[in-house]
Order: sequence, then structure tokens, then C-alpha cells
Amino acid sequence: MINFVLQRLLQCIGVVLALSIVLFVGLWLIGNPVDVLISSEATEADRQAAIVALGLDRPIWEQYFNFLVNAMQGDWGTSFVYKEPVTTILLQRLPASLELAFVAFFIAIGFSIPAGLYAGLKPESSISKAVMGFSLIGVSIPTFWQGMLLIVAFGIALPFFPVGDRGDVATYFGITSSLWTLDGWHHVLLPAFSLALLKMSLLIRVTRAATLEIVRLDYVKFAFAKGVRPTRIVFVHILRNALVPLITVIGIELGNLLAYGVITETVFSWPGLGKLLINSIKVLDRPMIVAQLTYTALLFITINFLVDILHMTIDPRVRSVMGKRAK
Amino acid sequence: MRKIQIIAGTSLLACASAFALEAAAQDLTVGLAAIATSADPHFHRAGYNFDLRENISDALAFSSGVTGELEPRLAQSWEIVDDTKWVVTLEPNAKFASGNALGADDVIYSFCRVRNVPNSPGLYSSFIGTIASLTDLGDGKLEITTKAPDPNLMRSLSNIGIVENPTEGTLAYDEETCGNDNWLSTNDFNSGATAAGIGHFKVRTFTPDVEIVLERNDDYYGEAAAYETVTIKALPDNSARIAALLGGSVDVINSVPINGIESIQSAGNLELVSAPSTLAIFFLADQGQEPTPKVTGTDGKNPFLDVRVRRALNLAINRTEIAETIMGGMAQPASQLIGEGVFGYNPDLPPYAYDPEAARALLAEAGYPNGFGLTLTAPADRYVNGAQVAQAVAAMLSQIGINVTLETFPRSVYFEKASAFEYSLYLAGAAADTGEGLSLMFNLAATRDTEKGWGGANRGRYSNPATDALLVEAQQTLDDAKREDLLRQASAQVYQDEGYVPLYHEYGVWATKADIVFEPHANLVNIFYTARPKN
Repeated sequence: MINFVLQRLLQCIGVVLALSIVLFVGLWLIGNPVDVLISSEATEADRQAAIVALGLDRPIWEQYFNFLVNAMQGDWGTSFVYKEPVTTILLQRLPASLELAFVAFFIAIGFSIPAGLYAGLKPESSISKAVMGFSLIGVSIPTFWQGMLLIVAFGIALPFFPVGDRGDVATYFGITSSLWTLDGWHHVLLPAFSLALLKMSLLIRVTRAATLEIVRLDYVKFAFAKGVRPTRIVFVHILRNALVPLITVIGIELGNLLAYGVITETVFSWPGLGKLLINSIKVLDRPMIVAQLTYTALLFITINFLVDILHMTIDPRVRSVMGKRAK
Repeated sequence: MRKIQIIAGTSLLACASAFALEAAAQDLTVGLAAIATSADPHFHRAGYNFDLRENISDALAFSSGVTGELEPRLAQSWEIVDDTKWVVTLEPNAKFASGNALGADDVIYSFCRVRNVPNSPGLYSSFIGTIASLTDLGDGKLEITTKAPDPNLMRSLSNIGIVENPTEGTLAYDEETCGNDNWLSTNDFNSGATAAGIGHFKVRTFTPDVEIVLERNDDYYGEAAAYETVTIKALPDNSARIAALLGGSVDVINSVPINGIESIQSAGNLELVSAPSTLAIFFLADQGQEPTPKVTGTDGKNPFLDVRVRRALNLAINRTEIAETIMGGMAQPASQLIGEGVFGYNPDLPPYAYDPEAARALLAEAGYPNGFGLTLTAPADRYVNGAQVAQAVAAMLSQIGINVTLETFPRSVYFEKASAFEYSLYLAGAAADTGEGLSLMFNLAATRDTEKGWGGANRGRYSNPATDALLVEAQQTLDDAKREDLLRQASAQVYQDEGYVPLYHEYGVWATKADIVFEPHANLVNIFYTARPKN
């Protein structure tokens, strides 16, 4: 087990390093941020001054090396555009993204696992068909359009929800979040639902497929024949086994929610990381882009790592495989 | 008492109704396409920073985008002593948040700091480039000596917010560090530790890229703002910005996209306010190299070196059609770079005729009866409907026999390629930052010369010594009427040389709730201190 964790950690460092190099070279190839940042009325001398001020006059390997050394000491650089440390800005925005992602996540899970399970257990019932129809619609509507539709329907035509922004925030236990206030919840529900919609559809389909497969297996039939309580069969024997493929999907989806709420955040002008990333890319704010994409990579690596561990606890077969490999 | 100040000059009746509205009229929420990146008035020269600066940190003067006039601010008045010497009388009632009165040392410190903001992605230094020395004459008077006559000195200085001098004495002005190493830090402005200066508003909170909350400065020396707090939200996505206004979460939005105008008009409780801006949109034809990179089928010749081909371009484009259909009427067709109403505009230049027949004949005369291959270049995301406009122009140029393909780039790479002269005919825009035409003309129509600081945006490299001479003369002419005449001649020269392909001047378009008065400014600056509830 420890061996496995160590192996994984080494892999992570390798991946992050490789990614940072790719990012640096890629951004360097895209173009010079000074031409975006500088006023069209500025003189050439001002332009040169800006190039020196941002450290862009130095060769790329030197810029990369400086970045690496500073990053190891926890300093991810200073934003070109805001001149604030990148970490400060990211930490300012992180809570907004996290709360949106978690609310969306719980909406998605809370609805799709029961619904998918039901659809798998009773595939012929009309409710199941409705659920599957809903998931088909959810998968096929593009997020930005579905978001706009929700805004028009529930923000403007029937003004149940406020449009845009995060609402009031409050600080408890050292965490500043809009989820501590009623107004915050009022603001988060619509974007979270919009973000959850696509995930829901996918999760319903995966849960249903897994359930359908397991229901047919001999041990389930045997359990029924033996007279085990149906609730026990469903929740212990079927659900637990159906969770194995689900967890992989949920893991990836959670990562997606946390890192790529870009479209939803843009449409709902939610002040999270996704919106920040888009804006940073538009003005080529290199330190911001590098830091955010590295954060994303770390996030996915961590989630995958946790998923593997969860697999081991849920599925004894995986445990034995991992155990063997670790020897 | 405060309330009476706000509505000074209106009738008693209006006064009474204003009292009734008072509770609702304290807060203004604004959704902007881009918000300031810093509360530091000297940090980064960019349109969205001019915005905030004008609301929180007064300069010596204000170049009004409504009247085109230069209004006094921290300079109560100024006089020209001789060609290069100005004496500015500072506003005696202006006080910083600390309670200290404004002094000449604060002005000198601020001008010194302009060159000394570490890691600035774009300094304001060219606005003070002509200053040779600054002298504190005492009694709230400041003497400014310029290196050469500079008629636009006060307009340039209207972009520099004045901050409080934190050093002990008065700095000795020079073009380096003024012998000082104690500069206010940008981060302290953002965190609120340092006040941005004397303005109608003070910054309460500043969250980059999310929102800025301003509160009224009740000690302001001039007429106070109507709103107690102004919340500025960043809403870069066009549809999100409109949705926020329709949904009622903001009161005012700027840069209303063309396709959103209809939904605003049909909403009933919303209003559009617009003004022709100084932002000129034009094409630049490469006149600086042969062969030119994006032209094919001419045996290596650059067709744009021939004035007849450039005239053909100007005649081939239907500007009225573009302004009406693609820009939804929110553009003013142009035949010169300086916009109508801006100092230096030449009313005698006729609009370009739309005459594809004549354009084709000119091409044939120039030796291209079958046209040539051309790749037209435009930024995808820089100007309102810029890509669509380029597409329309591409179609119009095909009509006169040029075989056009269009390529667009995101602005993150577009201007770098333009600076490397990688285009043959490309779309660009430029605004008269200073509210007058001279700096715009120097930037666009003067021969590109890095050392002199001319033609910074003239990447097509139009060049005519006659135009240069007119601009240089205008630069040294303090008499307004004479200078304006010289500028008009320069515009006429560019027109005659077909040096540019001007298309139109964009309108600035805002949308507000119907019960709010919001003044549209030609320089696209968002002024919150003149916004007020109706009645």
C-alpha cells in the first residue's frame, strides 16, 4: 500500500513537471502578452519598458527556471495584469468555484443515483422511460445554451432567482462562502442546477447500465430466491457493486466540475476560477494561466488517486491486484 | 443638506420628489465588460483603468467626453506664460482623505511616480513626456516648463491622477527617479491602505476581475456625486451582461452588443444611451515593404504602394451599409481618422463614394485588370462585430475583382503579428485618448519612427513628409484655431494620399434602467459621479 502511494506520488511530480514545461513553451509560442496589454496609443519606448518590467526580455529557459525555483518555495509568481500574487487571486476565487461545484455535485448525485438505480431495476416502467428521456435531453443540450435558457426562464420571465453574481458571503470557521447565507443559496441554485444537468444525465446512464448488468447476475437471483429483504438486496448487493464503475466516473466528473465550470461560470457571471481562466487567457496573463492549469492537473491527479483508494476499499478484487503489484 | 447639494439648480418641486426617492436612490450597480485591474491610478494605461481613475482620483483637469471641453479639476485654472511655460493654480479646497490640503508637492510626486511603478504592463509616461521641469511657486501655484511648446499639455495631464505625497519634502523633478526610492506600492492601493487621491468616490473594496465597490467622498471639493455607493461588477460575457440588466441585478451596463439592442428596446423599463466615440475603425494597407506577405499573383509587387489601388480600396467599400446593417446603426461612417466633434475634425472632407465600377477601373489602370490574391486579416475579438465587418469588406473587395480570403486571429496574437508586419491589409482601431486629434494623428499618420515616438500604431507605414511637417507644426502651435487648421490640413493630406482606409467611428452604447440618468462619454469612459436618479 505504501509502496503504491509512493509510486503514485513520483508519477504525480513527473506529470506536473512535464505539464509545466508544455505550458510554458506553449504560452511562449502563442505570443507576447505585452502587445495585448499595452495601450494602442503607447509609444515604442513604453512598450520596451513593459517588456523589461514583466521580465519578458529574458530567454525562455531562464524564465522557466525562475518560475520553477519560485514555485517550489510556494511563490507562483505575480499576475501581469493585476500585479497581485497569483496565489492570492486564486485563493480569492477558489471558494466561489468550490461552492458551485459542490452544490452541483450533490444535486447531480442526489438525483441521478436513485433515478438510475430505479431505471435499472424497473426498466419497463413509465417513470424509468421518463428518466431516460430526461437524461437524453440533458446530454444533448449544450451547456451554454441550456444555461441561457434557464436564465431567461427562471431569472427574467419568472424572476424566481437572481441573475449573475454570487450573493452575500459570510465567514464561519475561517471559510468565506456564500453557502453560509440564504442569499448565497438563492444565487447558487440556478447555476449549480445548470452545471449539474449534464453530469446528471451521464451519471443516470452509468448507474442504470451498471444496475441492469448486476440484476441479471446469479447471486442477485439467488438472494431473491433465498428470501433476503428486497431493500437489503438493492442497497447492499446491487448498489455496492454498481458503485464500482460509478466511482471512476464520479471522480472524473468531480474534477471536471471543479476545474472546468468555465462555461457555466461565464454564462452566469459566477466569480470563480473558470471565468478567471478565460479572462487570463484572453489577455495572456501567463503566470495566472500556468498556475491555474497546474492546479487543475494537481486536482485531477489527487482525485484519481483518491478514486483508486476508494476502489480498493469497495472492491476486494482490486485490492488483491494492487497488493500483488505493490510486491 | 447633502441632498440639496446634489440637486442644486433644480426646482423646488423636483427637490421634493427627490426626497421621496432618496431611499431607493442611494446605490448604483453597474455591469461593465471590463473593470479596472488596479486601484493604483498610475499602474496600467488601459481604457478600463481610465474609468476607475476618473471616478476615484482626480487629475489636474478632465477632458469631457460629453462636451469635448477641458474642465478644471485639481487645477482651478492655468495660464500660458510663454511658449514653454505654464502656471497652474491648484484648487484650494481640495483635501486628501488624510485631511491634508492639496499642494504642488503632491502633483510633483505623482508625476515622478508615473515612471516608477514596478512591473507595470504599460506606463502612463508618454502623457508626461514633454515636461522638462516642475517648480513649486508656493501659494498653491505650480510652474510647468515643457521641452518644446506643447499645446496639449493639460489634456495629457488630465490622465494622471494625483496622489498624496508620502515623502517629507518636495521632490526635485527629473525623468528618472526624482532622487526618491520611497514609492507607494500598487498593492496598497488595491487593499485600500493607500487612498487613490482626491475623487468623487473612494474605493471601499477591490476584488480583481470580480467587483469594485466605491463609496461617495463626502468631503469632495466640487459638486458631490448623487449615489452613495457604486458597485462595479465585471460582466465580460455579452449575454450575461444583458441578462443581468434584464433580470434587474444591475442598473447600468456598458458596451451593449449590437444584437442585444432590440431586447433592451423591447423591455419597456430600460433605456439606451449612446454617443459617437472617438474610436476609429479602419484598415491599414501595407505600404512599407515589397513584396508584401499576404498578396499573391503580382509577381512580387506590392499593389498597395500604388495610390490608385489604395483609392480603389476606399471606393470599393460601402460604409453606410456596414454601419447600418452590421453595426446596427451604432457607427458613424468615416472618411478621416479624427471623429466628428473631436478637436481637429475636418468637416470639408467629403465621404467616400461607394463606386465599385470606378474601383475596378482604377485597379485595371494600375495594372491589375484581373485583380490579385489577398488575405485580409482581422482580430476576432477586439472590436464590436469586427470579424463580421471584415467579412463584409472581404465580400466587397471580391466585387472589384480582388480574390480575397479572410483570416482572423484572437487579439492575444493579432497585434504581435501586426507589429512584425506580417499582414498586407488588416483591421485595427484607435481612439483619441486625449480627446483631441493631434496625438491620434501622430500615432497613426506620422511616419513610423520608434526614436521620435511617432507612428506607434502606424503598422501599415503610411508616410508622407508633408503630413509629418503639418503635424510637427501643429505640435508647436499653442494657438487653438491655428492648430486645428493644421490638423485639418493633415487629415486632408492623408485623405488625398489614400493613406488609410477609414471605415467608421464606433458608438459607445450603454443601457440603463429608465429611472436613471447616465451620461454617455465619447471616450467610452464610464463616469459614475454624473449618474443620478431621474427627477
